[in-house]
Amino acid sequence: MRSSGMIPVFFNADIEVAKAVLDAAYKGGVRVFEFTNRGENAFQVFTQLIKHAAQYPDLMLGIGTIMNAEATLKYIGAGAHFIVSPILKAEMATACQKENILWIPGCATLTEIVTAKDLGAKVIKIFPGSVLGPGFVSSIMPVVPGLQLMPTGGVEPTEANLSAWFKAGVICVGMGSQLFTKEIIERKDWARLQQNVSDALAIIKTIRK
Amino acid sequence: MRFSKREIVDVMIGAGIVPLFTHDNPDDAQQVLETAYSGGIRVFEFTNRRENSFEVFRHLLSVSRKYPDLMLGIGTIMDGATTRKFIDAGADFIISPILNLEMGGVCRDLDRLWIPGCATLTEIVTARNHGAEIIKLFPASVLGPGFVSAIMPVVPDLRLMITGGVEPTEQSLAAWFNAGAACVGMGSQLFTKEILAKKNWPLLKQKLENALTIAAQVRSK
Repeated sequence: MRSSGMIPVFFNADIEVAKAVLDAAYKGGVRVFEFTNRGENAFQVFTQLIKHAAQYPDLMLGIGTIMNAEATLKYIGAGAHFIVSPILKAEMATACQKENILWIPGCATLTEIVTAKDLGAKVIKIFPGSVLGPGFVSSIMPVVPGLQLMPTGGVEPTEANLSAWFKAGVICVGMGSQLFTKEIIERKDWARLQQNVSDALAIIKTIRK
Repeated sequence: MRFSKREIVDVMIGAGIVPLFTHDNPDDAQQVLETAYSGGIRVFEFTNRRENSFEVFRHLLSVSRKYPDLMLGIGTIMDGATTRKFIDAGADFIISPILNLEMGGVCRDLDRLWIPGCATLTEIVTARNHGAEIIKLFPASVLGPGFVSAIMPVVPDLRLMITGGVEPTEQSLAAWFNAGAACVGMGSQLFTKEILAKKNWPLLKQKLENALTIAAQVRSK
């Protein structure tokens, strides 16, 4: 997560679309991918996606939008490499700890962040990122040294936006709808998607130099 | 205990400004504290952000004994054990950037003023229900004066200390006090890198005097 600087966040109820998006992201340079649990058949799609991802031994495929311990354990059982949540839920920490799987809770205040850290979170998602802004990150970094933050929500694949976040001190960003635009998905324009992903990764690499 | 909680709250609200500062050099920290006092500061927050902050704080406490009306507290405290350690050393009050209820319990047991840091109304009301008389709003620049004016009518008699990005200008102070702030915490905007590097204590004194004057003017309008 730290080295690539970006985690794509994606959901689609159609397994063929999900596979194509994963393939394009992988070809674009992505090695950590978050599928999200946002539809009724998300679990079925994720199970098939895990099988599909087996052809990429260096790809880490996790699941996001998980809200409780039950779903956490269910997805870990299906092979999720990490668990992401938009909220801070202590029982999810316990479940991930038991299974030795990375838990990334979503937090929106410093109190939540420190609570998550005390519960063992190594990486913490800042959500919704665009509401809090890079100023939130730069304000709290001096107060709690060693924080590893991943803003998600409204992060844009532009140099201005990405550089604001990385200068503020984040270790990586989550990016969803800004990367996988409706237009690209509708047109199944996978070449364009691959290009967008690799452009975003290149911008991050330049910024961090 | 040199001051009651009530006395400290009164001085914080009376002055309107609580400076916050950290340094790993005890002599420089002492200079800053004494300069602040000479500039009119009577309540001062040292922050626990360095390896040796406890030692430097103890040194400042011994210095503060020269000034019977100076209240010296500690900030950036995150847990109950550290709270107890600094109170045992003589801290007049405890400030935190987070809401940690264990800290509230220690302060209640030892009858010391606890100022937790909050960023949502839920956190604020929880802090109040656990005895916080003043609540720090952090990071304030992210929430903005609009946050304060929106919640003040909802929770009457709320006393907020605004910290994070407050500037010692009429514009910034007026925006926060007009929104309903009880006082503001100010750090890097007062104790600038340049002042500290040049050890320009006369300029620091002047900055503090100006800030206190602006705060008083803004609030009398």
